[in-house]
Amino acid sequence: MDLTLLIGLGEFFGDFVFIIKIFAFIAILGFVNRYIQNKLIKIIMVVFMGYFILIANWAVFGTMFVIYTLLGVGVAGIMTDFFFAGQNIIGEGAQEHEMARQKAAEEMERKRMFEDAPPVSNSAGLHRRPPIPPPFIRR
Amino acid sequence: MFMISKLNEKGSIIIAIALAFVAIILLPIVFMQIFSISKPLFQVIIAFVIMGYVRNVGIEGIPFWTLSAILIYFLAWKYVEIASSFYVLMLLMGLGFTSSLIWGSVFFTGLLKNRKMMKQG
Repeated sequence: MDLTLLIGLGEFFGDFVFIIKIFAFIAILGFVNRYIQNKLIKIIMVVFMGYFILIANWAVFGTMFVIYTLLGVGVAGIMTDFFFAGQNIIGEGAQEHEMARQKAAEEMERKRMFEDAPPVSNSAGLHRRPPIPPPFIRR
Repeated sequence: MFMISKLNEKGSIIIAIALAFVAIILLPIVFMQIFSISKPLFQVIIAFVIMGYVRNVGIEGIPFWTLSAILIYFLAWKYVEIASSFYVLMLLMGLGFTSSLIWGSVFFTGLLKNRKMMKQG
């Protein structure tokens, strides 16, 4: 069962690599057709580029070709929309999170000031801490 | 805690967008299962698209027929479901419908969340 699945997947990926190679070969033919007029040079260039791109360095050029094709199809637009759609929520959340963090830091600072302050004596002669300042008073 | 709830909200939006794309990708396959005529229709469309693409590049004669035949065998015959899904997705991308999909998913996720909050009071 597993072996059958593995063979099926291998065949599938092999076929798709072959299809991408055919598309890359068509792109090479189109490029050579567009820029070279001489038939002999055309054939030499197709053979040279075909060997260099499709056989010798397929791992590099295949990846580049797939990325180029996806960008040409318009995947960048989808990614832009996707990041904009996500940014609205995260942006608001980050802003409120930052405000809450600042509030907590101010509260801690206020408490620290109270603890560091020297005790004062009241009219009865009892030592006590000064009252905690209200949160709206800022240093 | 607030940040986590926001991240969860983003997660639900990502899931909604993914579901919208999966629905679009599965649309031709469902069509092929329901209406049997749509499979040869997609095959013919893909074959013509391939031949047009190869001709548009500037290839003619024997290379044109050879490359077209290879691509038609694989894309219009062997993997017609995948090719038709990709074709529909590409068509919608070309028309700019994917933006509507993404922002529509965001809108409906917000709508569902508001309704849930209203039910909870």
